[in-house]
Amino acid sequence: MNDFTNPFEYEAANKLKSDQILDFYIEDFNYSRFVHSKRNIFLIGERGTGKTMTLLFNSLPVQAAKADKEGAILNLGIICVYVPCNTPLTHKTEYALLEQFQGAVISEHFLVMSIMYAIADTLSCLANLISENEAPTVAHELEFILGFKLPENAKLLDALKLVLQKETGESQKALNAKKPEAFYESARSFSTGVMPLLSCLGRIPKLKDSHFVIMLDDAHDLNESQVKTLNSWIAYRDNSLFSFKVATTKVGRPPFLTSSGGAILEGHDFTLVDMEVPYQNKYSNFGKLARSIVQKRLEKVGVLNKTPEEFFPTNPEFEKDLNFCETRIREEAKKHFPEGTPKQIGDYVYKNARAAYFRERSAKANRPPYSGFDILVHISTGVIRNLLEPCYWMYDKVVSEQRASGEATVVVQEISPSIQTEIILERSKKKWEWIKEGFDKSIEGCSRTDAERVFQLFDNLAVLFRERLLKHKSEPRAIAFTISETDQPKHADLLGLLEIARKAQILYTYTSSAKDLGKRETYYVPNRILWPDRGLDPHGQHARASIKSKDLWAAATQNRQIPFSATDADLSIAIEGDLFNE
Amino acid sequence: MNKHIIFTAASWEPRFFSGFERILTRFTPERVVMYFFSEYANLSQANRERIRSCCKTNSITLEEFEVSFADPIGTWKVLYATAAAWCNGDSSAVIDITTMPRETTWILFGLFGDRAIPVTWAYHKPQGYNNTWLSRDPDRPRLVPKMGGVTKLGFPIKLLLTSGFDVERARQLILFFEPEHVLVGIQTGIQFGNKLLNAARHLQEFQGSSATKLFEIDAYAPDCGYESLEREIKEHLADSNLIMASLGPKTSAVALYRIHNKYPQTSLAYAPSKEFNPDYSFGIAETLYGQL
Repeated sequence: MNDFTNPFEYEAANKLKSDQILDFYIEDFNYSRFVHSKRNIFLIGERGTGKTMTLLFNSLPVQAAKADKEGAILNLGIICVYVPCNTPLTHKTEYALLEQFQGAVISEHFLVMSIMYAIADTLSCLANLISENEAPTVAHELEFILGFKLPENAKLLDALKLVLQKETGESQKALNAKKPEAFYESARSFSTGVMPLLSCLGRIPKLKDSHFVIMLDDAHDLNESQVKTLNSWIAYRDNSLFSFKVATTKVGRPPFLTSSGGAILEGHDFTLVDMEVPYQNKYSNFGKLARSIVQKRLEKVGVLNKTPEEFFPTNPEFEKDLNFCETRIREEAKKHFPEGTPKQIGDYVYKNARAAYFRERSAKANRPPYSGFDILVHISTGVIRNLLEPCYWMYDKVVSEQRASGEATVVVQEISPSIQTEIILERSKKKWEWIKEGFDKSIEGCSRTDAERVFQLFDNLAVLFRERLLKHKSEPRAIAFTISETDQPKHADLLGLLEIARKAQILYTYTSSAKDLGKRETYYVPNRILWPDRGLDPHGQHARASIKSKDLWAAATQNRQIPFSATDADLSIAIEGDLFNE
Repeated sequence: MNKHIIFTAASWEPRFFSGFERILTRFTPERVVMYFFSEYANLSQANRERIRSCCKTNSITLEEFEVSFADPIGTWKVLYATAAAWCNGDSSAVIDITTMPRETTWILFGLFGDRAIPVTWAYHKPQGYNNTWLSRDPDRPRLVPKMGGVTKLGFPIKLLLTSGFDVERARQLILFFEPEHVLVGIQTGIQFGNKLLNAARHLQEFQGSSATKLFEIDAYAPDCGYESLEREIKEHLADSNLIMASLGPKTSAVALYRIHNKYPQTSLAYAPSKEFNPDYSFGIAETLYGQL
């Protein structure tokens, strides 16, 4: 499938070109206001939650391309510099052969060189940044302060990149010498590298009032020493010239310790932004984002007059049956609450209509015909990559079928409900197979025993959620859970298993208000792509099952069914707003 | 005449001891340096005892050193110390790579290469592998100390893999390094169910992806597949940071070392596993020898 464009390509954002980022990124739902602030910000979220895309969209080269496209004037007040941390330079291990201080010096040097190069590279996207008259003065100052000779016959920023490249290469070669004590004497620090560079660049008239936002992506890949160094920089609170935006995963998030043994504090030194925002339906912020993303991608391939709902239509029988159930349950609600308010009736219908559909299906019936854009949004579990992945395979399937039948490849105008169902069930089945067979081969720190336990835990959760769907009196569609009675001796081991599941992104965690006012508690949401294979409704509801820690542990280790009561008291949760609407 | 020193890594596999005996029919070493990994010390105990006994019978000095998969830096220091201590101008090293982790093999190759010590490597094929599973519980992939290459700032990562029986290991490396492009060298031949268990699985996984190029390699050829690998990487050297990992036949690690040695800007990566099958392989078949 090399010669057609699949609009739902979900490759890592760092592989996209500026114009593709502009094409795909939805500016309405972003964290630009945080990125453009002068505060230090940590953006946290698992793979696929849009961290890289957010950083790249705000980077100067993409903003310059955007301004160019829109005929607007580029604002150089805030200059966002994208610095990837998942590079071979970050993964180098020689620092660990040195005694601690020297190791820290070398680790900082590599990080500093990466930042300096990224600054030079970022600014070089601006063709007329420096006039011919200004360049010699700035070059002279750079040479004097940073202590190197810029190559002649190259533009200032290109020359700077060359010299930084050379210096980084020399330091790596020195470190690669086959001696444990190999060291690089001319290592740079933040104060002898980045700060003087920014200071010199401030001499360029167009940059004299600029604030540099250093955006470090995948900071979880930094080594321990680099993390401490970065935190020390963050603790430096004069943010007039620069600030940091640090993107990292939730699982394995680097600690907040500094080189001096202190710690940086949320609210004081930085603001923490969670990129995984809880969502509930297609009208929530995530639902709107999902819709915008799909709409924009469809437009890019020439599907101009169709909404995402029209492109991914719901199976008519499925829709009809759901509507039938809703009508019936509404009548039932009116009988239950003869004097009921519209809200009472609405709540009853919301909780029970979809459950009725699943309850009334014959035990021998095939899996429900999962289809429709709304289902895709729910299956994504609030992660953009999870939304795009099934869409990608659906689109691919349609094009493959066109080719197999000898038809000319034409722009796909719709994904039929049958293909949607087929792909959803296939991806769901594959996910279960992966948990069962592939976990211990692909998830770091997951032994065979862990893999078996995770499978049994999720298998029993599926059984519990199925029981609930068919029999629970008040919250039948709860497919999230909280953990109660955590004082059992194996609770820490259970959390270890859940950590593996989070690492594999078959489980997500959020915090929300508990029933006890004022308290926050963690709740767990299994990846909803798991549920179609088990005949469950991925369209959850605003409720979570409360499960005892010991029961989850027994489910994982002894494959014991999680106790179910049709009338147990669940935790109803409020619809969570996102960061801007809470 | 050079003095031979054998370097080997203790294993519980039958071919470890049988292979050692076979090497002794070809070389008369002055000394044997045997590394053993803490994580598998119990499993390798019986075979280590046999090596001790064999060395005693043949009046060969045996040195044993404990190293650890979990501590690549500590392991590097042990390898450095032993290589420096036992190899000098009139020595040559015979490295049995059969049961030696690729990371250890590469480090030793690099240390001896740096000192211009002649190296002969030996690899004993098994009669067969366990057909259920070989390794599991992967640890975090890592660059090999001193062999992480020379990174060019601002250039994308490209990943070169020689494929083995486990597609999940390839997936893990791809997820970890997030390369812009992946080159997968697939072993040719029908040995050990290769067509079905390696080639077909990798074709199914990667064929059709525009970000992946599949090519054939014969790691059992005299050059261990070096020419095929060099042909594939040449066009990528200038515009990327190339990371290379061997998941396929052990001899492909020899070819990758030679590539790294010629193009030191490339990085060697190792993807450790925390668990190996106690019945990993059975028997011993042909032994391959080569020189760096």
